[in-house]
This record gives sequence, C-alpha cells and structure tokens, in this order.
Amino acid sequence: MAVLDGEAEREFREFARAETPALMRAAYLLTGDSHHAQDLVQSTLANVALHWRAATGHPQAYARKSLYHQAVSWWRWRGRRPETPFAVVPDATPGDDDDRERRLVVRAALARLTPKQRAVLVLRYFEDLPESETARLLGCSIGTVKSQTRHALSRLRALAPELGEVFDVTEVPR
Amino acid sequence: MSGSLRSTLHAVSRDVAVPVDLADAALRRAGRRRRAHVVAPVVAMVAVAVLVFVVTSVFSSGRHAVVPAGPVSGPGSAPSSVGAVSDVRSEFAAPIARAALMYRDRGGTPIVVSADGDAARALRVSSSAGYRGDAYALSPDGAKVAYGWQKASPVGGAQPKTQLRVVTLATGETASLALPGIGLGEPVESITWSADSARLLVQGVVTEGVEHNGGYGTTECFLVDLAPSGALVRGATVPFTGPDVDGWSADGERLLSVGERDVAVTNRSGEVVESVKLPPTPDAGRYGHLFGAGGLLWSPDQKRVAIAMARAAPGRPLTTIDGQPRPQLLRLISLAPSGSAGTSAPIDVDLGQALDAQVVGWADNDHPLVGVLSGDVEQVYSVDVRTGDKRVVVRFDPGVTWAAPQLAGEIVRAGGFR
Repeated sequence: MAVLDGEAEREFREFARAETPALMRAAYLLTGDSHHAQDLVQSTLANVALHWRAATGHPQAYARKSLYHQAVSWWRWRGRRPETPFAVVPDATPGDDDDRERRLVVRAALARLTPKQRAVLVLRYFEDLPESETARLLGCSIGTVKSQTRHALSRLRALAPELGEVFDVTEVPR
Repeated sequence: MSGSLRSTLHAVSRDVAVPVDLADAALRRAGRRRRAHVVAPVVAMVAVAVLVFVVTSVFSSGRHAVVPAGPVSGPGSAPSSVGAVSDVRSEFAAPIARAALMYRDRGGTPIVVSADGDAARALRVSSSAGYRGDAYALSPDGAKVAYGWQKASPVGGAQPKTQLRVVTLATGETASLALPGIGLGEPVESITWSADSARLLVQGVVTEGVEHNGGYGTTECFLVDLAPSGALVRGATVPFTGPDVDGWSADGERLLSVGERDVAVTNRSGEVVESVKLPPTPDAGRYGHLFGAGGLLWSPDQKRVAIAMARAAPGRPLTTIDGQPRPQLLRLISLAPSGSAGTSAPIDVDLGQALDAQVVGWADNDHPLVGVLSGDVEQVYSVDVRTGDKRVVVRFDPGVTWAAPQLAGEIVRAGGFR
C-alpha cells in the first residue's frame, strides 16, 4: 500500500531532500542527540508524507509545526528524554578550542531544560521567530512564551555562568 | 568565550551529521502507520472496552489508594498503590475543593489528590500507542476532570479523532463530546473551567487550516456547557484576535480576550460586548501592534480589569525578553455592567523599570495585586485603584520566582492580606 504515488512521491522526495538539513539542525537542538534527532525528523517527514495532499503549498510550515509539536509532546508521552552523550560529540567540527568548549557547554545546558523551554529558545533564537509566531506554532499564549523564555535563559545562566554574555540576550529576534 | 546566543545555537546545530536522504525511511514509517490505521478500528473497540472497564472499576469499587496526610501540592508525597508520586510532572490545584490534579511523567497517568480525604485516586486514561489524553484540568469544585482525548497518529490525510471528555470523580461517569477537525500534535491546546465549574473554554488547532491559512492551522476557541443531564454541549465559538483568551468572570457569563490591538469582553453567545483599544507601540511598524501584556484579571465585582504591560518607549522593543529591564505599567480598565456598553478612560499606574510584570490577583475590588520581576527578585504590589499608590505586600527571594505568581494567588485566596 503505497503512501504516495507517482508525481506526489517525486515531489515529496524532493521536498525531503531539500528540508532534511534544516530539520535535522533544529531537531538536534531540540533533542541534544543525533540519533534522536534523526528519529524525530523521520517521524516528521512521515507525517508530512501522510498529509501530503493537505499540506500542498505549505509543506515546510506543516513540517515545522509537526517537528516542534512532537519535540514537546512526543518525548513527554513516550517517557523518552534526550541525553547528552559527551563521549560522542564530534570533535572534527571547525572552530577553535573556545568555540568547541562553548558548544559543549551550551549543548549540556540545553539538555537540562524542559522540552518546551528548549523549543521556545530554538524557535526564538535559532529560527528567529517573534513571540507571536512562536506562540502560534507551539499552540500556547504569548505570555507562556515570555515566561518560558525568561525561565529558560535564567536557568541557562545558572547552569553555565561562564557563558553569561551568551545568555545575556540583547539581540531582537524578528 | 564570546558570541551571541543565536550564533552559538547555529554553531551547536552544525555539530550534527546530516543524512543525505531520509525520504525512504520516512515513507516506510508512513506506510507502517497507514497499515496500523487499517486495524485501528478493531483495536479501538477493544481499547475502549478495556478503558471503560478500568475506569469503572477504579471509581466504583472505592479502591482508592491512600497517601498519608500532608500538603496537597507536595510532589514528594509518600508512595501509594498507584506508584510513587515523586515523578509528578504537573499539578493543577482546585482551591475550593482543596484538591490537586497531577500527572506523571512516565505513562502520563493522572492522579487526583484530595486534601480533605487524603486520598489519591488514579484517573486511568490509556496512554498506550494510538490513544492519549492531554490538557487535564480539574474543576474548581474538585468534582470533575476534563481532558482532551485523541486517537493519535492520524494517517492517510484523515482528521484525528478528538474528543473532550469530562469525568465525574465520585462516580467515574464519563461524558464526551466529539471535536471534529480539532487536533494537531495535541488533542486540545488548553481547557479552562469557569469559576462555577459549569462551563469550559476549550482551545484547539483546526487542522483544515493547513490548506488555507499559511500552513499552521488555525486555533479555535469555543465554549462548552455542562448540561444538567451531564451531557456536554458545544457552545459559541469565541472570536479573538490573538492567542490569549483568559479571564472567566466570576459568574461564568463573560470572558476576557486579549488580542494584538485590543482587549475584548465576550458573552456566552460568543458576541463581543465590549472592546477596549490598546495604543499602538513604537514597534508597530516592525512587529505589528504586539504589546507585552502580562496577564489580565477581573476584579471580584467584575467592574474592572487589570492588565500589566510594558510601557511604550521610543526605540525599545516590547516584544522580547532581552534581559534588560523596561518601563512597566499597570493598566486599569473600568467596565460597564454586563449588558451595557462603554468604558471610562483607562488608568495607568507606573510600576518602574522591571523585566516583567504580571497581574496575580485582586486583594479586594479596589486593590489589584501585581507581581514585578526585577533582576532575580519578584515583589507583589497591592495597588490602590483610586490613588495609584502601591505598596509591597509579598517579596520573594531569588530562586522562587518561578512559583511566585501562583504562590501569591494562593495567599490572596486564603485572605492572607489586604
């Protein structure tokens, strides 16, 4: 029983190939682990495939909403928590020691946040979405986005005080 | 080490290896879900039968687990036969009944704890594959629990089957209301009880919106009445322009809704009976008319509404928490009695420079309480609506700011201060 036929499958494959890098990077920030990230993106793309006709014209938006909703509710309901296996952090990525250390510390600190706090930070400071869009995407109020952002940043400051300037956010997401 | 949060997140994200093509794996997974969908009706019938049997047996046999007496909201309470409650994820207090609804991280089994009877009762909702509940809300009188229920993983483009369910705790009777079209990611977004435990405000995402609303689906907000027969009756759709709908009036007849440009009062028929325009912000051109409203609450006599918000300041964004304090104000709006129109000019009270401000309650009809966060310290002010004078009534030490608004609300309900 094919999920998609002919032209629809070709379009979906094209879409998946183009969007996988961006979805993987967001999923990695949300889960803190490359295997979980791949699992999350696979599941997201499966959702898109199953709703390909309904999502026609807006597959990116549909995929993004599915990704973030799953990241918040999926882990909770399946009792799965992202882990931070430092031993397998790739060390071949470019950057000096300071950069690498900062990435490690930030990644470890992100893993200590709740899924919703992580989602709010990623949407606002990685995807550059304003509060209203973040709220709409996560299906919560702007007040919740504000409070989650505040508490997330406060917790990150407490977890990694040496990165104070990173979390003293002065930039304004669009 | 230096760098902004944004650039650091982008740097971290580049640490992941990106697979060349996940389309095959995704299509295989989609195929498995579709096949599962074929047998789902049979599984559904069996699961519903089991669910009905379990819920009925739990509530009708009186075999409620007993926990030792203690604070109702203490997440570290002693173990009971429903399992240790140390892994409680959320709790929602019902102040009148002195009961709390908690649900646990693993398996999501909700537990209702009553302070009066010291009894813990497990509300069993299947969380196995294919079925799930969410947005649990305990009624203010502690007698009922409402939740959204959904057959998960909708497949084949079909809409998810979503229901609103209300369980009467004393009898285990469950009333349900089909919500066709609602449900994307979660059964419903939120459920809010009116103070008299007679009505519900339900928010959910309409998935059909994917086709014609920018791809996100649209949030729908509607009222549900609990009929005397126990049936759930879907009421009016509440029009609103923003994502926040708050503030049941004490009589359950009106709702406050804050949009991007105005505050609206809606009656039970979903009609906007009053709308108060909010002034545009200096960021209007760049960010629209968003403002940083931090909660809005009716006064007990339902004649006033208090809203905390960031004050417009040239060149300063209102729409983001950037770690910098900004001028905050408390806006007081006097509303005409129900059924008539018109408002007097709003009164603004300066709250000084702060990171955030939220209305947390009313001490009486003339004194709203507003929590103000400055640095790591949160203080709750009582503000005199006639003079604008404010005084600190509660000061929370650093480290407890997370719970401060809730704590303040509890203190108010207990009549702790005026």
